[in-house]
Amino acid sequence: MLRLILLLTVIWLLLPMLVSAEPSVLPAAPLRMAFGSRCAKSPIPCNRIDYFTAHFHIADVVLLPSTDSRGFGATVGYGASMSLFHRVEIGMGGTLGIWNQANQGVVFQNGPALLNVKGVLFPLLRNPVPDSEFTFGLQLQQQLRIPKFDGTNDLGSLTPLTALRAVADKPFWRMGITASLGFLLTQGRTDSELSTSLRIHLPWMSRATVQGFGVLQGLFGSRNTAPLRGGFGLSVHFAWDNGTSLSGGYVQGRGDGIAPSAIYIGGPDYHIGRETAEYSYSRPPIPNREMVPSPWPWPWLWEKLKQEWTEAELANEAHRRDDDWLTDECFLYEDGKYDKPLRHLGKRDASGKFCDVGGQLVPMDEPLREVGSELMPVSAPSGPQPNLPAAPAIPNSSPATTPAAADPSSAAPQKSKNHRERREHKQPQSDVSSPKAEQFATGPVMPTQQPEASPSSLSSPVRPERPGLSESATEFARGFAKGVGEEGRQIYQDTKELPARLTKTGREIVEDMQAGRELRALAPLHAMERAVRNASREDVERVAHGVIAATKEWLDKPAYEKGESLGRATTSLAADAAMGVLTEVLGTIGTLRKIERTAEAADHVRDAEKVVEKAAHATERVVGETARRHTPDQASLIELAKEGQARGLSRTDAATLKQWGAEYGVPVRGPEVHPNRSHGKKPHLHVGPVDHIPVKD
Amino acid sequence: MKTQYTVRRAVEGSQLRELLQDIAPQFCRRYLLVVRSGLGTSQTLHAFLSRLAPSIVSRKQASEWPGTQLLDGELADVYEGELSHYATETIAASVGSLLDFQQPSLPEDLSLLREDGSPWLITCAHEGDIYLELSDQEHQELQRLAPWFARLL
Repeated sequence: MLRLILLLTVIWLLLPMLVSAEPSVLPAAPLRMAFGSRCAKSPIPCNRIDYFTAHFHIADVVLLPSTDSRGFGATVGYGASMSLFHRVEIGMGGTLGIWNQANQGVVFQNGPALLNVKGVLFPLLRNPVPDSEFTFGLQLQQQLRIPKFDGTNDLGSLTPLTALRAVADKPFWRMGITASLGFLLTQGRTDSELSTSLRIHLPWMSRATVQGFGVLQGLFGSRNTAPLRGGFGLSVHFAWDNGTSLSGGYVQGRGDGIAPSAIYIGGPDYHIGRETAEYSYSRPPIPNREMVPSPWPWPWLWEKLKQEWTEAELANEAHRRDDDWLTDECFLYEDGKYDKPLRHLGKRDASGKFCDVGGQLVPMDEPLREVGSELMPVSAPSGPQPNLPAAPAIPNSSPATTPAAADPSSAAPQKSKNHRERREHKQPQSDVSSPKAEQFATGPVMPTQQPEASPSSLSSPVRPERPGLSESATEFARGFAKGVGEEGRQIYQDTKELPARLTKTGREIVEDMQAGRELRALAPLHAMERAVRNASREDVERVAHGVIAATKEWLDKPAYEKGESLGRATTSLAADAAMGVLTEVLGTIGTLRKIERTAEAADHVRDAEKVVEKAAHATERVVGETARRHTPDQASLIELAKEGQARGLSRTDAATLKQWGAEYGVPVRGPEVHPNRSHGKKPHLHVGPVDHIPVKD
Repeated sequence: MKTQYTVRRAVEGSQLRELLQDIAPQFCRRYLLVVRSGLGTSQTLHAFLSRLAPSIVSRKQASEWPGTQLLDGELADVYEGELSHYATETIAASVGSLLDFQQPSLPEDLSLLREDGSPWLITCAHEGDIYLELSDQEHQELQRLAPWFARLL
């Protein structure tokens, strides 16, 4: 901005030096651009005034094709103004004329100094909002002849001139009409001026204005002193949110002493301040607000500065408030792709040079490669490969020999986070096998198992020896994983056919499917898990009892085969139930009923074993889910929550449940209220799957 | 005078993207997310917040945010951010539904705020509740801008 002011000052001081000593008269001068920073750079005055701005224009060029009286020429307008409260605008400026004159060559003429003031008189008692209502205003322009600014005035004489114009403007729809009546007064001569314009703001570019206009001078007075002349034309004006503007137009002149044709090129202009009370020209861009990109580099520079400033400010603020997560957390990124981390790793150590990943220090900002579950610097020697986690891992001890073994809270402390994660990852398999061993392996059938005699066992990777309990669990887990994998692939194929199966459920779901949510079928799986979790113990037991008797034959199978079939059954049944939830909206207990009915239908189905396995798995899944989801402590807490749901809790009891929830790893929300909503507007608690437990005062 | 309009159906997928990136910015300038103590956090939550970090302008502890009041003096971390195009794109790319905003996977209860700080969209994910607080004029504007969304109210 300082540079701009300096530039204007230099122009102001140096331009007169270029002008010849003897003032020349520009033949066939163009109509002067009207004063006003928002006047679309046409000869038509306007009442539009900014709220509070400073405005500079340095190159309002009017190109003048040659005429009989002169060669090609141009005028360059310059100046500055200030707008106040949509009410008053004052400014000063000048015009430099350059043209080619026969026998004289290139001639310069610096026009008179221009002092301008305009004001809106109506509405009087409130600030008019530009382009929204009728306005009436007066404009006064004084053309002063002072040293170095001694060119001709608008009437072509070398005398001071006063121009007074009354302007009325009426906007409507996206258009506006302006009419102006003016008087030009100079020594020995008075002229009048009538002008009008019709403008339209382009619908697809509200900042652009197209204006057609006409000007007529010499309506009053003698033909000698005020010859009739005028012009009509078209102009286009673009204004950008950042305060710059450009315009162009053409005027066809008629009459004595006026340019027969003139090409107007306005700008660039610069506005600084507030266009309206709400919007500043220097404001940062507002997201999604209609905006035309500026052709000038300033907005880009501003955006870069703003971005740098924001980031620095955030960092400082984070440092000030000790926001660890912004700086101390470390994430794993793919090299070269830093917009999205692959996963969270841990926290930076005290030195800031390493990331603590479960006790392992990984250097920050260095190329890494993954060796098994470990992150190694690329420069590090390869060496022997670390022990890769077996899939599935072989438990070190007999699984699920006691219920407590399934309780993660009773497990020995883990050495590292990675170990914890591995254990958690393995847990579903061991969990499924654990209750199974507890319930079925201890049944009377198990001891009679003869793997050697079973043809299927020969082709399976089960060792020929009679497996021990832990080995059996291992083989079971392997088979389970295989079955899940194979069935999973089948489910994926089924999922592709799901849209057709969903046609009965309504248009909305189908729309979602078609929108590309190919894995939508997985969401009901989650819903089913919740259904199982929310089922009562009686429901689970009843379903289990109904199925156990039918699984006797299945239990006679070797562990691997048993696991494989159960894995298949698990996955397919889950998908079946999921589709049931999705398509039939069976709800929680309804889903279990469906499973139960499936078991009952076993006698009527040719492949009875498969159906029974499904049902058996249903029991396993229900029991397994319960065992996996809730430790005894957690289950007890949830039971307490259910009791509390029926009779309500005191504040003290609520606090106790909350504390136990934190201890046992059960999420507890509240006590809380949701004001003005139909649900939860009274104090309540959420404990795990138990919602809306009333909390009494 | 504002009226509450409950979103009667989950907004997911492309509709959620349109809501966040096209509709909401017409009315809103800020967003809120909440991280409550005792519900746990996850890698995805931290990663999500780190991605949103450039748009976050403040974090404060509060017992109240749009749609929820905590009792008994409990406080939660309330993150406020600028609803920039970057933020909406990050959010839209990270969730399938507004009801996904539940800990420990993600921060809780996304709210979208007008320029004056008043809530426009309120989410209470664990209650399965999403609603808007609109003036009559805003409701009409919403019907004009996104009739499909207005029909869900």
